[in-house]
Amino acid sequence: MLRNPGLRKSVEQPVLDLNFAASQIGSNGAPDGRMNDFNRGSNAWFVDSDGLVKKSPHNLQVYSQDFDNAAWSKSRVTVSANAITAPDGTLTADKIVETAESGAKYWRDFASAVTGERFFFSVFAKAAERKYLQMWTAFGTGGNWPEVWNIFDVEAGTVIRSDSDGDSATIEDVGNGWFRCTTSITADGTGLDDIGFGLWDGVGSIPTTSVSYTGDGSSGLFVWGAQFSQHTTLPVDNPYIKTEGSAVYAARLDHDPAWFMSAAQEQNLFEYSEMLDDSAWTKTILNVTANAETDPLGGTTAEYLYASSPSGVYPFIQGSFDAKKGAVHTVSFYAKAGEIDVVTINIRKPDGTYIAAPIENQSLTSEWQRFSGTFTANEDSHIIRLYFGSGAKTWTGDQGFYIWGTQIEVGSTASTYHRTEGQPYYGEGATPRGLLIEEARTNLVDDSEDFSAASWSGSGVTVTGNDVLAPDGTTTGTKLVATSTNAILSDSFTKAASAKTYTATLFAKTGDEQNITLTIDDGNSTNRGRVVFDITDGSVSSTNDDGDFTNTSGSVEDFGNGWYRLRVTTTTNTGTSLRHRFFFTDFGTDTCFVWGAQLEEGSFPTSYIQTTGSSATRNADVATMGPTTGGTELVTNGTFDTDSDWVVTAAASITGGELVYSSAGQFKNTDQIIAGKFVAGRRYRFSCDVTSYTSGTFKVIYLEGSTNQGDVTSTSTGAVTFDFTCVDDNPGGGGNRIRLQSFASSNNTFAIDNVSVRELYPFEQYNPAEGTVLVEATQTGEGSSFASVAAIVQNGSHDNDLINIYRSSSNDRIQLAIKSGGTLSADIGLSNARSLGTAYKFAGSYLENSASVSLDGLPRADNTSATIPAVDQILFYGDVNFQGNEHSGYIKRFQYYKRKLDKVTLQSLTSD
Amino acid sequence: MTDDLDNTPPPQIDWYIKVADRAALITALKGPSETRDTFDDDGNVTGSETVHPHSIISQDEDDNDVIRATSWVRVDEIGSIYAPTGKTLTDDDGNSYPEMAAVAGYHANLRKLSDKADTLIQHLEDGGDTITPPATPARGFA
Repeated sequence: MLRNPGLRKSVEQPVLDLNFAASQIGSNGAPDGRMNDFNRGSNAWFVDSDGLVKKSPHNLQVYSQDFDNAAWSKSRVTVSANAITAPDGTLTADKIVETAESGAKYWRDFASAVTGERFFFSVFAKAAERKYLQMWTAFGTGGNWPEVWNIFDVEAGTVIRSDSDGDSATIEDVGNGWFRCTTSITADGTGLDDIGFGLWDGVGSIPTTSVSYTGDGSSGLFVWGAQFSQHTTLPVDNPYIKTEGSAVYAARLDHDPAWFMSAAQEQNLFEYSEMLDDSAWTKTILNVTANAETDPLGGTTAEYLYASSPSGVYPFIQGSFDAKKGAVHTVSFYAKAGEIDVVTINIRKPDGTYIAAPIENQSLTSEWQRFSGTFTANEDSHIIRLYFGSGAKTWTGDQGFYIWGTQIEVGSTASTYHRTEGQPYYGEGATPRGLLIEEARTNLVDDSEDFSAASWSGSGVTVTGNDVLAPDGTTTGTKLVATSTNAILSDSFTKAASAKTYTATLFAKTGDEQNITLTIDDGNSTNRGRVVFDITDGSVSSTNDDGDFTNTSGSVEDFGNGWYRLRVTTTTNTGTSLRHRFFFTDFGTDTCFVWGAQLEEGSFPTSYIQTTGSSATRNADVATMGPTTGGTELVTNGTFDTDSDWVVTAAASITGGELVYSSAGQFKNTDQIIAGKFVAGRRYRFSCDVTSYTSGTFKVIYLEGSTNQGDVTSTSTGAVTFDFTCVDDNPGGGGNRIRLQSFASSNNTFAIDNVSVRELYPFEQYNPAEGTVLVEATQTGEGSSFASVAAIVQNGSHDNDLINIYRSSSNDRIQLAIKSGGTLSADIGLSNARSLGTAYKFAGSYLENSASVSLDGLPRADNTSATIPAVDQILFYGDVNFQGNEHSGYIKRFQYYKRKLDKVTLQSLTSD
Repeated sequence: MTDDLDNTPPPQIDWYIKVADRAALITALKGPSETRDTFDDDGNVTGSETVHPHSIISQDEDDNDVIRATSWVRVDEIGSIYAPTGKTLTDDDGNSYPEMAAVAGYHANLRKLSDKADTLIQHLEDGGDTITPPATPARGFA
């Protein structure tokens, strides 16, 4: 009798599970660092988890963790390469050591600046004999970068000096004594200029420029992972991207943009939520004493607001914020009484007109309390005004109260407080869409966000740039006001003398305008594709083929905060003129807002491509995995070069670059805790070398807490290896550990070297005879008759040996194709169509002469002639070269099982 | 610069290709050719063949030449580039716009992603297929 009948049938688990909906960008620019070769070679835009449209993570700084490389010029410093364990656990961090010379000690490289664009410069640093790191730009020239000198204490984790010529200086504790120091700057010129780092000995006053001192020839600090990138807003967590000789542009993990400024999103729309002394807050007969009082969290960051003089009007402080027109907002703050114990908050229009008092004559006590109130915004930006509110209109100069943690957000309740400094906070939580793979596209519009540029022609319209909060979280939205009954903006192009299909997109938001029309024509409005949109509710009102233009279609995507991305697609005539226009259809003095115009050749829209002065091309996304992938080393000091990182039993020693057991007794353990690196459910491989063996038994155990999850023994010299699955990646009670143990009862004498634990390469787990693949995807477009969504192929022969999940545009079906030696042996799918933009789950299982598929839980289709090819690589390709087709869309999840799952399981796999 | 450090600017990453037509571009992007022996199943030399080991050209299922996206180089095929003729036209909205005409040549942009591209780039430069980087390119990489 079975003691646990529930375990009679084991549940097959995938040996590879790429869950892109829950991934983070790794240091190789790929999701979770697991795809070994993601590349694109250009910037690309995506929707981050905070709902904002951003440039994908990238690193323009070459040799980002090789400061000994000649790309870094050094002055009075030397570099000791790979001197200490880096924040990622690898022995790749360098030590910068000052020479004994007198003068400035620094190292630097060039970076290319573009006037007015914002850049972020960061590095990981850890104190050694020196603890002060200087980050600077434009040393010596200052032509293209502002001359910025920031200083960080990388022992205490504080910013010592934040240069006012820069945008910001921040420091983040990343553990184990490491801090990530970040400087942001806005270029004031265009061209190459230098950026760099320096050492300071801490003697004398805090330097405001290059600092000279006489070094001791031995002191320094540790650095790793420099990153230089151009963003209006940093990607969430600003993932570090490793580079060597070229810039690296990371993959995109895309999200639903409707999250931005929704009530579900946590926000703080104030730019300075605690620093009420900042000039962003204007004061009227009121002063602010910064950091005057213990705040609710125990720090000393609360402000004291007090009347500057007796007056017949109320003292007040006011600031402006971007709002979501028509939505309920909540304002909140912490306050406690000083001499004043009543406050009132007003909301006003930008011109100062009063609209609401969400908090009126609120009494304060001597204890910190959080107060909140709601109001409905009726503009895209508002003023908030905070008054003393006792009703009396005379004040002395010494009366005031304490305030901290101001916040304003969309929604009817106050959410968790989020501190802001310099820019609003937009919380994470947008629904993930997965890995975005797109074909190459060019935005033919020269100036996608500057509608007053010469490339745009306007008539009957007033154009005001940088007027409203745009989908990228900056105030770059353009306001358009119709001044006549013919309000039009247009951009003209020249094309080849053949019929072509183009797609134009435009982000638009209503002011009081209801309709916008987008057209693509031949320079004359007689022949055009024309779509009319209602931008008050984000709908298509009408779609029209005018003249000899054909196949016109339109669609709308909600980008949050009232913004919609409008699309028109049409096929032209054979003329050589091409024009993109948009115009208002309600004539008069109506207003609307626009941002991010794009015109691309193709039958469907792709992600936004920003242009500034000329058209720009985003290259195709190409992601591959295998044959050797996912092998990031988890063990530190596995070669026993030092005596660090291991808890060594007294019966053993690290000697001569080995772990040596000599006549050791039983159960003598040498452990390494590997914290925060395992992921539950993934498969790993342990390996090491027994370099000498005399007697006893060597045993390796993988432990989670006190639970043995796998072990192997050896009684000879040679390689030792075993594979195991991480069951719990945070087990407590000793953590995830590798244990090297003397196992025989006595006299264990052997030596160990080259200990390694890494995630298994997918093709080390691959079963060449059978398997099952599952893909969850949404295709947004395809460049030809069929498009591969995901494929397992033979590297170098990917057209001839493959197991391919693809979508056929002729019948909108999802298919499984199996090809071996160039011969197609299976091509099966269900008759159920999945149109572009529809999410689906598709699974295919295969065995020689037996293949089955299932789609969204529907009954399977089978094939009895499949010939299984030898394969060693997974592809997600946006490139035309794979199978002569291009895929664009989202891969949310990809799983591989090493067995052909039974038909019921296959169906259930795709059903939820 | 005020210091005495190495002020060599960063290496070039983008090249601008100008050839006669698309056929010339395809030929150029095949890179330098090599002659290799061919063998039968017994290892006997049967002749020779011309190969292009640095080619980024492939054929789709309809045997059309396509430019491959590789991990070491990317090419943006532009084709014709248009420039103002100097004449001004007026559209049916009354807006003035410059008359454009194609400039000579077939154009493409190339971005180097790794040193593996060096041989192909050298081949293009040696063949006179690249031009001096324009001050204001008609199109760039995003």
